[in-house]
Amino acid sequence: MKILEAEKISFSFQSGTLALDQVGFRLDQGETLSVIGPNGSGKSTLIRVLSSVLKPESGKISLQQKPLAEFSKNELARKIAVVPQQTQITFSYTVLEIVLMGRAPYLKRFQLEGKRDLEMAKKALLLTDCAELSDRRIDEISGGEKQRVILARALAQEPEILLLDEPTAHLDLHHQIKFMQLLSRLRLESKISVLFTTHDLNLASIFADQILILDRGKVAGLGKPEQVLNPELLSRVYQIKLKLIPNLYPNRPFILPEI
Amino acid sequence: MTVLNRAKLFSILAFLFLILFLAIILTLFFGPAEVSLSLPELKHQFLALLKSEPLSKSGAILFRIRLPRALLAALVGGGLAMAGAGFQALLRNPLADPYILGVSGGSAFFAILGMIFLASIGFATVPIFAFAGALLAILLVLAVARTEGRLPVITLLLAGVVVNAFFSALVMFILSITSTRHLPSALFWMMGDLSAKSYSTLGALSLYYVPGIAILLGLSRDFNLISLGEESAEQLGVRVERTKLLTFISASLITAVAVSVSGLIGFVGLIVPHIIRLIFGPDHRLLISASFLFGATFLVLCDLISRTVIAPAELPVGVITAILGGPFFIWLLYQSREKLGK
Repeated sequence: MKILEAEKISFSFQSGTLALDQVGFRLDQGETLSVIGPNGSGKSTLIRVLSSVLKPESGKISLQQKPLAEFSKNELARKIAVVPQQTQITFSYTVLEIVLMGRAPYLKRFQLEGKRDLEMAKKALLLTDCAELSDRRIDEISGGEKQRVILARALAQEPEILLLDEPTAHLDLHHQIKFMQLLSRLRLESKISVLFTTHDLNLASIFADQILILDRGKVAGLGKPEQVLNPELLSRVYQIKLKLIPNLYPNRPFILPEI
Repeated sequence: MTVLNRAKLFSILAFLFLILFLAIILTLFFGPAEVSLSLPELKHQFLALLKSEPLSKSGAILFRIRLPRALLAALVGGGLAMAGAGFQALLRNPLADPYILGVSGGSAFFAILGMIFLASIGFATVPIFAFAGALLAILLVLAVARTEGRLPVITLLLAGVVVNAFFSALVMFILSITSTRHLPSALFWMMGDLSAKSYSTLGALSLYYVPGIAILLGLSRDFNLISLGEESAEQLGVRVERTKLLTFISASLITAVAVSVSGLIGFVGLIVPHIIRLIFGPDHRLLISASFLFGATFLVLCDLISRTVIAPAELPVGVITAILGGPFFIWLLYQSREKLGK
């Protein structure tokens, strides 16, 4: 079932740079889409447009067949949760307080979190293996733990779609794989649809159902990993010679630089 | 530490209110004049005050001088602390304070202009001038401090210090050319003057406060979300630009009103929210209101010190807050030097 669809969306910055040029894709329920492409190809901009922080100049985005612009900010926050690449948190909140912030879209202005909100937060902490961090201060935990806490906050929003902007960029190999496995599990257990950007082509190949390749704001490829990841296309996009080991995992090609 | 719930919120606020109440009672006992009243007399005098009947000498000292002064200190201290907490939340910077940001200086200059050139319109309009000055100062500071769309701590502090120094110089200039006769009292005002005001002045002050306080309270949860970053807050349903604008206006208004009645009192907005955060955590749904109550207590006690330490003479209360606040600020800056280096 189609949950998020973008049709020919374009966006340019005030400087005039065209960041997205007629980008389109479709994300089904429970599916994982990975967006790859070189620096400046428009990956982060796409996430910001999809989360309605930036408004596209043209094109159409629909969420559950309804135009994105018709959702209020709160409605949107109950459907789409975003995990940024890095989160700088100003004050020294506890982990539980941070995760509870994910409940804000469900609360009235002066309403404090209730029992159900606390339950959802605790569930999200359990899912992300953060339960024992609950009372720790956010500025006292490691980078890998913090990224999981931010994911827990996103899950506390009970979203139907998770957008993640290079979620593993600041994690070591162990935490990268653990984080991606966690995402796969969530997707299976709660039918959440996932869109993540990454610079790691192999991570995309292993964990995504679909890959969208962006090149200077344009779609250079879109499809299943084994279809879309081909050395000619990738070498052209990244302007470096790449070779490919097909089926290192079933239907998941592995990409290496040719030196 | 448990999460904030209604019971926790209200018990902490009740506790802080009790402390404020006790602090105000305490200050009634101190002063150059001996006051001796038995409890029944005290009650009689208090009722007479409520009915606007004449008071005895002791009654007048208590209820026409010391009590309004304590209430003024409470209102000003509470307002400055709350405005400080608001600016800190908005700028995502625990070193922000109306005084350090230059907002107080801007308010003071415009308040002086209002007082001198439009003396005939009376007190009620001075806060409006001060408000314009506050907004001008904060816009100036932000314009100077903003680099590549961000607000680095260092440029923010530098811009604030410079804007404050600039407006303070303008205030001194205006005072010097208008009348040397008023200079001593004006100098006093420059360092914070809480000398007794009438109850009607206190009433007017409270009225100006109401919208500012109501808005900051209403935005408390948004402040929590903004601590995650503006974009994350936006993605969690906050209308960030609107929240920022409303916060600037409210915190500036509160500062402006406080400055109009009491001059320049620094560091309250810095010290108080910090102590509240250390004790009760950073949740703004508690922090904003708790800062008001604790800021009120803080300035009531500072005022008590300022008028007893060299009695029968008085110190401007800003001297006390700066003596406490200066080292505190340096300590905070020292604590955050690693972050500043980045």
